[in-house]
Amino acid sequence: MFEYEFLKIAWWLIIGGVLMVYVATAGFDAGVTMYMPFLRNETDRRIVLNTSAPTWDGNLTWIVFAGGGLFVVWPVVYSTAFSGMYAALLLILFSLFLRPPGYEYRNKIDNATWRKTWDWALFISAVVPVFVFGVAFGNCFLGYPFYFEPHTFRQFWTGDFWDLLNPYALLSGVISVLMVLMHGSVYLQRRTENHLRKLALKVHVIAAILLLIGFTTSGLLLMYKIIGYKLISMATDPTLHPMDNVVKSGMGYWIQTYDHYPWKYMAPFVAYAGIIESLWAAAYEWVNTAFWASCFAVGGIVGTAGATLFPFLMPSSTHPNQSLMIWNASSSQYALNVMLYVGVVLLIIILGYKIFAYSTIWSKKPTLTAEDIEKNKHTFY
Amino acid sequence: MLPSMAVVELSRWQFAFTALFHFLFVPITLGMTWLLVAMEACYLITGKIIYKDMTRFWGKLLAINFAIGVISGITMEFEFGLNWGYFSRMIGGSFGPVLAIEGITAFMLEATMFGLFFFSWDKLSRLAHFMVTFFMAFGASLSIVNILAANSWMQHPISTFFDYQNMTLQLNSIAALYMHHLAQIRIGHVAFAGLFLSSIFMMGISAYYILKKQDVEFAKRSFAIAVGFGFICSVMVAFFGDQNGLEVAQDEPEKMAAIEAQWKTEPAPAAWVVIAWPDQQTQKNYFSVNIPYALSLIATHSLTGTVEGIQPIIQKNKKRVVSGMKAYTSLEKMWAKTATKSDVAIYQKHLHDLGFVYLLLPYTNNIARATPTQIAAAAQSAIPNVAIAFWSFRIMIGLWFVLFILIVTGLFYSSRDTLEDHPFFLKLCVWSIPLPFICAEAGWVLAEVGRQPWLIHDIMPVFMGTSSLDTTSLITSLALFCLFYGVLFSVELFLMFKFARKGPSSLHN
Repeated sequence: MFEYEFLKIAWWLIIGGVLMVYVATAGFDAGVTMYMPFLRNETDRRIVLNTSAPTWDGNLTWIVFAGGGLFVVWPVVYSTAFSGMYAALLLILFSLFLRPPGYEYRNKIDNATWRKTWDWALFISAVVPVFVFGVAFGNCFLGYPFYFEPHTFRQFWTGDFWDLLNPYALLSGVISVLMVLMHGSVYLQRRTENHLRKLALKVHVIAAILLLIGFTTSGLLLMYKIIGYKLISMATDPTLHPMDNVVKSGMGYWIQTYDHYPWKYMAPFVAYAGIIESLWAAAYEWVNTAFWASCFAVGGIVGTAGATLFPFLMPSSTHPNQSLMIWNASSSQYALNVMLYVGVVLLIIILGYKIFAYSTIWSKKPTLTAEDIEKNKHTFY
Repeated sequence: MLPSMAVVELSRWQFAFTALFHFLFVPITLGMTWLLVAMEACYLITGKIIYKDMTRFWGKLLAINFAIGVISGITMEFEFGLNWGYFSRMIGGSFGPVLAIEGITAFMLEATMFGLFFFSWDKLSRLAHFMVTFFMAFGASLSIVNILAANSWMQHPISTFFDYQNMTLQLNSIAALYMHHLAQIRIGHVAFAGLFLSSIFMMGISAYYILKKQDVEFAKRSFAIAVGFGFICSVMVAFFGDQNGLEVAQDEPEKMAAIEAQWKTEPAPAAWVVIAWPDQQTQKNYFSVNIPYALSLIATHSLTGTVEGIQPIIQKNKKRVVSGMKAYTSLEKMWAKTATKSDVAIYQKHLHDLGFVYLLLPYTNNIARATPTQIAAAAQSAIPNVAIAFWSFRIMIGLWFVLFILIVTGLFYSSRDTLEDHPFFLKLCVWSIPLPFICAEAGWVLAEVGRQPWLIHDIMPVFMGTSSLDTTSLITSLALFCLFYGVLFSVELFLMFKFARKGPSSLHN
């Protein structure tokens, strides 16, 4: 069996990595479906939808990997976050409901109203979950109002849904939407031609610039305006005594941890470099480079959020000493160890068949055009 | 401090509703994918285009079904955290891995291959596309393996230990959960149930085309494949169901007693109560019709065995509650760090009954010092609802029997190629489409209601597992689930009917 500490860190990296992959793949699906209600021409709409249709189902399943991982690795985080932010999570769930039928059913009936309805359904199912996830992450930096009953460790949450909607969290929500919109636009440039590519480039430039501003603002707020948390000490076996911590809070603590753990600087650096590189490459129509740069940008932004919080997962604003960190919120060593073997093997297998799936769909012709839609009128979505 | 009983009831209703809804779509995906593999195998071997059309047409129906299957499936994964927060926190390290492996292996594979199945007909070779279909079916089946391994752990938690320091249940070995005899039997039972259900679904729709004289050649071939599959699966599902019964009698005697409405332990060879009106209050059966000797044969496969009755089980439960109280008294001292060595020894000795002490919670807050009446009430509450268990079992068995006869008749007519001469039989096939769904749902109702009041058998009662929510949130979410599921289900049925009526000509080729 591996060392407990090692397993805790390894799983933090794996879950972080899976989240990045989720945002980088399902992110462009969400990004392209944001275009749906605003395109005037039905052929354009079908081109946009079908750039993501063959693989969107598989991309969405990364959330199941991340969610399942969360359940096993940090069950207390999973259960406290989901039951505490009940309304927010239901909002995500219910808007996600519109997604599978949006893809599968839209082209089943040839009727303008029917299609328009699903266009809006796809739009909502793209924007709302992305925004709410962003808001939830934003609140993480402020701390959540939860505590545990002694001995039984029953979780109690003292805030409600409206508390989540504070200015900083709303900014995070907007950043999250802009990030996904940028990523979707870069993907669209890669998979379409002519006027759609031009349109996507425009949206890409606007979204990326706004994203740069928002991301920077968020960092400055964390530095000068937001009360952060710092772990002073914990029990010798934190998983057995998860509440015996000393956690202090103070202005700018989140950014101060960057000096304590210099590796954290990597994440925002990748985020900035990725965004700028994607703009630069898109200007020269190097669509593949722009896409991969955008993937790094998205990964960097998710990574920045995770790294800034490290080692915290969910700080408690009302009972800081009961905050959840990777040290005290992890599952048993046995579960982490077994799941590490299983997870690594499966990740390699998954990577293999994902590459197979993408190359099957795109290797012969990397873009979709109006002719493709005409040719596959009855099979395409 | 426990959440109110209203929260518990609402959480239970919500779980029952969403899980049963989910299981309307799972068995079709599970069974239909293998039927597609069979059809595409025919295409691969013979190269006849009709088999390709069959695969594509039934695939289209699968897609309509799959969309709602995905939605209701993601709901289940969210719901553990949303409504069953305390349970999820406690079992993340034991039940969690199996559930996570399900998501990582099964759903991921299935969903990725699902996209390829539809979009790669002209991009892959015939063999490669067949492999895609195969892995789609394989992924769907892996899902059942994991979910049943997890659920069987809840029915009979093996290889698990309880850590009082952080209130978690932890695993000794994850392999044991898959090697678990009960899990393996139930995996077989549910997998074949899915195939059985899909066969009847396909038989019914094919019968409709034959009746309508539309695409008859296509429909007859589909019928033949479906009825062949259906026959094998109906036998297998019964075999695994019977084996499952033997396991239940051993691991969950109170569930067995409830299924058979046995209030007292009858001497062997015991009579089987075919139908009755079991009354939990008076512990009696009204209007019962019995077949002598049959119970011993069914439940134990012998004339010397019998089924333990509910009354003796209640007596045993009383002892276990008292024993659990001893463990709990020591546990309180251990929490307060005043436990002596003998306290720890008492705790260890009575640990396996610790779950029973929590059954006292609805009757008293001072569970370490409960009165004899409270103990009796708790012991009684550890018996599931007899009427529901009794009747859901009979609905399941009865419908299986009706459908079995339908399949055998279909096999006979299909093999003689005289299906068109029996329009009444074909109509019966069409009208039977909903029956296997009711059958499958009844099976789950039996499995889950039969486990009550436990969430994890003998360890954690259901009312302990809920999140600390208020009733307003739960009523709102339940209402919204009903609304969304209602709308989506209507759309799904509308499209399903539309495309099933249109038939293979909807493929436009």
